[in-house]
Amino acid sequence: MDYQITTRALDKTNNVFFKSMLQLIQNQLTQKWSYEESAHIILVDLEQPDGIEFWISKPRDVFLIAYARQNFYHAEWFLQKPLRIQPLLQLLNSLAMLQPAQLLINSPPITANQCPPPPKPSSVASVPAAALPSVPSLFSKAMSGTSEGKNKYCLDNKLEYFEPSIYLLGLLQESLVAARPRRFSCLGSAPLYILPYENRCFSAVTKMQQLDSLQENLYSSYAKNIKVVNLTPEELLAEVQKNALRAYPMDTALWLATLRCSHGRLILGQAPDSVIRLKYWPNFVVLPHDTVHVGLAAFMLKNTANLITIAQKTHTTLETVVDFFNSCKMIELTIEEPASESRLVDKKIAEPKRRTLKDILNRLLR
Amino acid sequence: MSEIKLVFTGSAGAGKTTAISTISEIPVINTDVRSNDFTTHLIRQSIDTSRKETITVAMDYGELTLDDGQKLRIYGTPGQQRFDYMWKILIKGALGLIILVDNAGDDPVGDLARYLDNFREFIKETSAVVGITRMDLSPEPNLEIYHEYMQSHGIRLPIYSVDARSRDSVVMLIHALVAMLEYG
Repeated sequence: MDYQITTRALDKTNNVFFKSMLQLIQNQLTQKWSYEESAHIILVDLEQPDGIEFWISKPRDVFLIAYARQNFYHAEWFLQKPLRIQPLLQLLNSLAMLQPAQLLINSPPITANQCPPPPKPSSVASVPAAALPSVPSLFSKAMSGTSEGKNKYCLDNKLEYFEPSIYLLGLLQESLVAARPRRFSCLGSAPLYILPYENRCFSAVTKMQQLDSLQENLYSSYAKNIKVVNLTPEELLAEVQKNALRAYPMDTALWLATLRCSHGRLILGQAPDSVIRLKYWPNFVVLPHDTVHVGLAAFMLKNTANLITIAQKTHTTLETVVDFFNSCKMIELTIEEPASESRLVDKKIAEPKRRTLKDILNRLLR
Repeated sequence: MSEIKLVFTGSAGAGKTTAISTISEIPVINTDVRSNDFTTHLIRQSIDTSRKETITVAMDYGELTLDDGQKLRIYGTPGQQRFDYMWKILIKGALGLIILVDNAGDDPVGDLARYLDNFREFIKETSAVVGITRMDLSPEPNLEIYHEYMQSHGIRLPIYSVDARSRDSVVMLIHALVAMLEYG
């Protein structure tokens, strides 16, 4: 039997590599496989925005194979990066053992371009408040009727990941890599200036901790709604001086751009079951935060656990934990350990003491 | 009900008295003496008297009334090592410890090391938080150096650059301490 396979969102190098590797292993395959521009069986690069959109759109009548460094989508059929002969051989020979109906090879072939387009985010420019990115579900919280089931969390297999490249965060990352001083602006928000070689950013906002909704827009906007202007360092510093802008560490912008856009979705490429701890305490002086983040920082500084455990132990929603984790990861505060390294400090605090601590905090924060 | 207390400790001139005064609802009671009155060689060596007019020789004391009427007692230890007998007395039964380090001092990382060592047992049993003061005057060592020091010694505590004159800074330290006591 002849099988056809195609690829989606692989970059040129990976695609060439895949085709040549397919040729190389022909005589070791149990069936004949050929690469076609159009085929039912599609290898999808889940580390590329196009690939993710394609995967999430759940196209019909195709058989998808996830291609990434980690199987973070829990795909049934998965090929790990980088491309290697043995795993590819095993994958294709395993696929050849499936029934034709399982592989959908009796359906008319379609190309990836014929698949339904992914849902497009709404525009921020027209109606700022209502047009912020929607909040898809990453994890679902399973609340059973039993008392034991309460506070149990489970991972939803239909995950949607936080893809930085479609938000301000992606623009910031790209600018840092390119080392380009730039100005970012969005309807109604004070512009953000970044000076990568000094690892600083500038804004007219005097207290990043207390952004109003207009200022929030910039940090929660899609990249396509943000105006980006290249500046020379001299031009940038002149604008800083002219407008008496305030300087912040670059981490402040990265942190805020992550916190405001991740919406409970794990950052792309991150395995949901990773065991995590904080390298050191986040500098909340320059990182806008809520009270709950301080508790999470304390737990994650002393304990090494997965995200679900962190949520359970700190009585915090998983979405909040994910947002906090994404933000910490973005400024390189996190350390990932093998699952076997999970370590929880056995800490029991007496209820009266807990109440006293809360009273102290309430009194001080009033 | 046993005494509810927090203890501020740290190097001479780090701002312990000032920090306590930002949150105390009573004027801070202290046993400060003019640093000029102290003429011993030891003291002259250890603090820069040009920037600190008084030093604490026994303790600082402030208070905060909680909603249920209980008093939170806030103690500050004398900064100089020669008064360290007071440290043990003050720390006994404390909820937590706040260590302030003067970044403009001669050896701020060494100061931190000494206080972490002196209160090692207490920190192990409860928790502590570290505030680095006067970083505006002396930006080096930066926070990364402190992080590295603590990491290399397996110490995981919150650390901030703070302004001891700012209530927000002091509240932030206590907030981190409370979080560490509950979750850390």
